[in-house]
Amino acid sequence: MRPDDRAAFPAFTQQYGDRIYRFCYRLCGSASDAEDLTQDVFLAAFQGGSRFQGRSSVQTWLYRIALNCWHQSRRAPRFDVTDLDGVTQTGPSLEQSVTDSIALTCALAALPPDLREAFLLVKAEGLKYREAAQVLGIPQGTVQFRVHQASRRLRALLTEDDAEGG
Amino acid sequence: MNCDQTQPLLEAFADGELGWGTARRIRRHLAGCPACTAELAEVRHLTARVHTWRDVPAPAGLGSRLAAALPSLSPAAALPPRRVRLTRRAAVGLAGIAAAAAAFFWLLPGQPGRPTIAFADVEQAMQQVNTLSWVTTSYYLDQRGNKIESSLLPVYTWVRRRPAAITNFEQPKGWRDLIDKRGELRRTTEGYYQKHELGKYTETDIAKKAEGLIRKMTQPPTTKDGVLKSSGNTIIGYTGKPLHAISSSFHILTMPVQEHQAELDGRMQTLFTRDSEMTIAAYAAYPTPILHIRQSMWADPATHRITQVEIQNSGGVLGPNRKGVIIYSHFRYNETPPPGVFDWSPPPGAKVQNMGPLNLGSHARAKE
Repeated sequence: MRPDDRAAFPAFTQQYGDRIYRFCYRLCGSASDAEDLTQDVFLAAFQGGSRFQGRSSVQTWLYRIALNCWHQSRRAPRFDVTDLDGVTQTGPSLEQSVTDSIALTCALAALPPDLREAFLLVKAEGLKYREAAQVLGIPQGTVQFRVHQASRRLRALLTEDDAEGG
Repeated sequence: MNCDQTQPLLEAFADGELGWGTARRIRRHLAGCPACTAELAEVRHLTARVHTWRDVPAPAGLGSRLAAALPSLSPAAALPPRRVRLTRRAAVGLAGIAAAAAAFFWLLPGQPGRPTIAFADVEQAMQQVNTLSWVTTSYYLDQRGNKIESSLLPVYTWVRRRPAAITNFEQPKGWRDLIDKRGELRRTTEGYYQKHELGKYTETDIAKKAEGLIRKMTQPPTTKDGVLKSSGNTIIGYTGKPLHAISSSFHILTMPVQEHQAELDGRMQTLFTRDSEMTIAAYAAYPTPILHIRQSMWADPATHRITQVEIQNSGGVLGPNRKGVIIYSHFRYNETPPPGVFDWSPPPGAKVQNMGPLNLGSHARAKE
């Protein structure tokens, strides 16, 4: 399935749309911005599909497009905490789960963009370090370093948050 | 391997991304190192936490909308120029004035003359102000973004700067840390009392009867990586009803200030925004348990003075169908205050309610 195949485009978006939307949501912080960004990603994929040479997976390629589009938008992440989609109750109460979700979102938003993007790709999106390196255009060792730095900072923020009873 | 060599690799180790040899060396180190073992447990806990957070369902119909966007495009065509995306936020019902002003971003990198000032510039400029006045208006927006007329009347506020004091705009100096808040209001009428202790953050606010949100914090907020956190026990009063005092723990996360360029009143200004989340345990059963607050402040790039402040609230007791908006506008600087304004004489033709003397300024709720 090629991304520039108009007839196959609906199936293409069906296969990758949810995943790319989720990543865009984590970058933007709001549902409305995420949908806009997702549209940009798939339109760019459609128009640039002929240049896709298969050196990486389609998924990796789409992530790279998403980051490029996000960087080009020059926006700051906007926090949309009224959107509680995706929060599942795993703790003693849904309120606690909601608080945990908000705390993690806040903590991620506090990270520098390079650390946040590496962390999201590996930990939230489940990419291999090699794949994340392809998306980011950096060495795999640099991805490891950034994920480690992001993890340290997040753990410090969240540990303090938990101690305050939030 | 030692700890310094092991710890940077723990995330990759937990993800099974290391080669067999490196992973074996790490396991050997962990067998004899409680510190790194504990660190690994934290890494895995964070990973588990992310996994419970990761799923975000795509909105219904996304695929159809993506496909519908195709007909005008050709794979062989050049990518369309980056369009300025505006007002989608307005289209989904964000605050009317906020959408018209705060959401109206123009990003012009490399544009000659693009105004850019830092928040520190604004703080410095405001320190030179001796008197200040503004008008406060507030209203609600329904879920479609339509304005619901509020019963609150415009409030005319005058502020006079005392020696070594800080002009109070209801946003304390040092917006980034909320630490340096000073002032004292005395109560003369119906229970409005606010006390801040200089140099130490113990704030007790008691709202006017049947009005407003009260907070009681007894420990200083903390700031880390730009994220401000504060917590305490909250006494909540519900607007419009007799003061209903309950005690509930709360937690506020306040994000770093974001800076943008935005148009206001027909000219480009610098817009500073800051988002806060307030989680109140007593709201857990509400449809929208979390109160979201967006603070926006416009500053003139020429004078570095504040031109407008806007506070948007959603969630919490407002529920899923309303947003609250408070706007401070019509700022006027270093003008001679009307006679007696600090003596609590009402403006001509105005009838004052719930007045009390302020050391820093005066509020007059006027009926015109």
